[in-house]
Amino acid sequence: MFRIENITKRFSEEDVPIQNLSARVNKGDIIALIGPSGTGKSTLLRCLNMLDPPTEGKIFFHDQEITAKGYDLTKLRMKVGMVFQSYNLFNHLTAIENIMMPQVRLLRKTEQEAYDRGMELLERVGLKDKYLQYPSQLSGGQKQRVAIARAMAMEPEVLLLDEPTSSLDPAMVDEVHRVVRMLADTGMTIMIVTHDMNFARGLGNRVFFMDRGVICEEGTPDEIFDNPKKPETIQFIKKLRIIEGDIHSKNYDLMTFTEQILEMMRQTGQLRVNWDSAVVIMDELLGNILFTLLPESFRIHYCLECGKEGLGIVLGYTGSRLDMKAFLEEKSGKAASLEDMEDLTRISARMIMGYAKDISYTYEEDRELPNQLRIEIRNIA
Amino acid sequence: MDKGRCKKTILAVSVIMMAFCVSVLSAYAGSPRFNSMQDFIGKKISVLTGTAFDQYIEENEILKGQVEILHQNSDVDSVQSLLDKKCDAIAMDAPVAEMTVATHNELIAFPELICKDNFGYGFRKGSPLVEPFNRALQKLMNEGIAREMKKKWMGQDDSLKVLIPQDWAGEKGTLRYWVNSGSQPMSYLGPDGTATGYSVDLLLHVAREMDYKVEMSGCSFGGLIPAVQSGKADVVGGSLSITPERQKSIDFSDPFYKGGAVLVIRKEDVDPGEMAEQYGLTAWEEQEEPEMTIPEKIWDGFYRTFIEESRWKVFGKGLFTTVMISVSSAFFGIILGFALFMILRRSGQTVRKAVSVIMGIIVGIPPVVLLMVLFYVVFAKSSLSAIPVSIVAFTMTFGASVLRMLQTGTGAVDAGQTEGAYALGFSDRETFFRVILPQAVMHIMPNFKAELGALVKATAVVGYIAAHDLTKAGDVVRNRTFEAFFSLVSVAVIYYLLGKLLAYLVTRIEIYIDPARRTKEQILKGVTEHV
Repeated sequence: MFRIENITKRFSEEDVPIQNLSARVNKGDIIALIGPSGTGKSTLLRCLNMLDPPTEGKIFFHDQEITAKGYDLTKLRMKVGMVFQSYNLFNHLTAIENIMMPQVRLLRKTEQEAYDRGMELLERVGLKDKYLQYPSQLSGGQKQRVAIARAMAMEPEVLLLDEPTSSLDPAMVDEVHRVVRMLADTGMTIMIVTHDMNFARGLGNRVFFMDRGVICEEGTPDEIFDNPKKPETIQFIKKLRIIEGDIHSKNYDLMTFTEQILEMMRQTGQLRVNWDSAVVIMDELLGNILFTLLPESFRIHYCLECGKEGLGIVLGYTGSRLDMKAFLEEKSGKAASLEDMEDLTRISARMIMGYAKDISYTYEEDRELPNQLRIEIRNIA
Repeated sequence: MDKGRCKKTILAVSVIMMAFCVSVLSAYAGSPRFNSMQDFIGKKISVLTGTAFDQYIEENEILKGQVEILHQNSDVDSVQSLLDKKCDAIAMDAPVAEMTVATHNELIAFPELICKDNFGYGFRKGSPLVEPFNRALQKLMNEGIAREMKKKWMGQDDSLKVLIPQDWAGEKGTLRYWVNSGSQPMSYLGPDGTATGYSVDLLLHVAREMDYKVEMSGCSFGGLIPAVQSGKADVVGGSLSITPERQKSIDFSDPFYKGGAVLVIRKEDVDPGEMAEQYGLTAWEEQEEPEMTIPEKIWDGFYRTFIEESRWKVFGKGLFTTVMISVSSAFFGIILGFALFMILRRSGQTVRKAVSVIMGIIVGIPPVVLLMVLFYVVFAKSSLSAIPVSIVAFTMTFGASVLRMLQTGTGAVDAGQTEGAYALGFSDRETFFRVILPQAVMHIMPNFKAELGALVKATAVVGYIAAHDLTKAGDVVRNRTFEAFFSLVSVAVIYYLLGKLLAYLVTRIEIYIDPARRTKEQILKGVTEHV
């Protein structure tokens, strides 16, 4: 259906999200695009309906070159449906009008035909009774379902979904996933960018793993998830993402650090609560315990791993032996006296112990960072 | 006593004390005595903007550089500021001063002239009309027209003060004559709102002698010279003094009235005995004016402002002009702004830059300056009258704000809306009209309401180019009645009501087009629901 030949998308000298990418999309394919953020997954979708035309290379749709000058893009776009992360429903129209208007204006259907088709689709996405609501009156998940219904009303040959659940609360992700699965079952050709690995794995027949502007590896879901070949894929699938860095000063900006973690959470689609736990643990451990216990001059190396099982925090720090595991266990225990109650580290320790599933501590004098603490976070799903 | 009342009491006491101080100070400062020209040194003297009096004062050996000059827009304003003690004297032409003193018992003309002053009619430099005009004027003068005019226009009998009818053939053509109003008795607006007075009547006599018809237009004093320079008028003049300065810009007829400039002052500022002795003036024995009660005064003001000489018609005419200029400018401005917006959407950087520079200029200069530039420079050679030129000017300014509103309004619509429409297959045009514009309009409406109100108020300056709008109507009536309260307040009230009415209409439109207020039937037009 689509034949992509050596396309490159260049926004500026530095910003080149797609570099010499080639691929084929066949009728009936259900393709999940996965990969780290900023590697061109969304741009690839936007090239396919020419919202962002590639700067080099050619794209063919049914053997017609859509990148050629003078190709009627409105015709192409009517056959290539698109669902956006931010829904892009027309805010001045009700749900049913959002679905009717394109049919009436573009497919030249009568209002009645457009209405009947619209109501049928709204029923399929479970929003029949919301048909007269304006987008502002709908929840994110409902908006996205209306957006899918709107795209489907145009009877497209292929549907492109660009991170349809990324801006949704976890509770609403499922309702949208259900609708996408339902479409997949009808034999619709689908390309979807997603960060939800379980969904990507269960949905389709093909997975594209994109990294730095190219399709780094592609295969069936089983091939990609169970037997990744390329080192980039392996790292992405196994660990998904690692944040690491050094801290040298007690004035370290914990806010920036928190933002980094939240950004990673967004990219990996991990449950928010797990990341919140990581933020709390790092905040308490660094700000209230280590910064007070360590001498003025120190170095801490932190590493956050996000795997399929959950999150892990690894902290290495300088100085003589400082058994943090023992410290935390002792402090979180029973308060010995009233004086102890005023000890702030005691509260911090209790919080950390509450979130941690497993803590291990090792000390090796000849290591660069002799103290090493590892905290596994309880998976609250 | 609770805190609030305490505060109020303190406030009231301090206000009273302040008022007391002010009144004591002003009483102390406000008692000049004018016995000789030297006494005017350091005082404030009002002159009419555009007249030569400031120049005369500078040429006067005693006053030169020694007085503060206040520029006023009409003689009525000058008189009011003298009565309110905002100035100490008004420099006026002798005949105007005579009239002013006759109508205001509290005022008196200082007997010494500032300088001699001759009135003439103005023509474009090198106009072929000057010579035949002078010949005709001279002939009339020899026949003693000056005496006749003086008796007719400077006397007390108002019933005599009518212009001669234009009953001659006028085979030579038509003279376009512009005259400033508000200088009784030389030139002012008569009961029917058209120009009348000594100069006007005399000009008609001269025109009859020359066998020309006369087409009259009223304007402000400052508009006289530009009118003849730009060729909008063939001849101008009401109380136009002949000065060397003006002779550089225009040609003058021979003087038709030889007078001088005098200072009008408050009677209370004069030592009666001294003056009478020195100048033999005995004119101001206090005349007993019948005391009027407050309701009588109000009725008198109301009567003179609206009913006498059917002056409400003057207001009506002014209101019509204001509404006409505002509504037309709004209408054409919307079209202009929208057209520019649509052109800019599709054009490149150069056109955008050019338009933004032009818009910047239009928005950057005061409307009144734009108006005068259009009238006296751009359309100087065309025969466009004041109202169309006003409409052009305000169409430009309103078009510029419509363009700006559309730009910010569409900018406020999320870029995702455009993408969503494109992705469905909508063309650029349909995306704009079906998706972007309906949403942008709702952002624009509140702003639009404010801009429309501002437009109506901004049109108040069209009087500068002699369009007879509502503000001008107030001025005209005020010039006749010397009664500021009713004409100003009624002009203010009419503007306010007009603004309210427009805001109400726009709000109705806003509600009508608001997509969120549609009924179910409107949303599902052409659809039968299955139950």
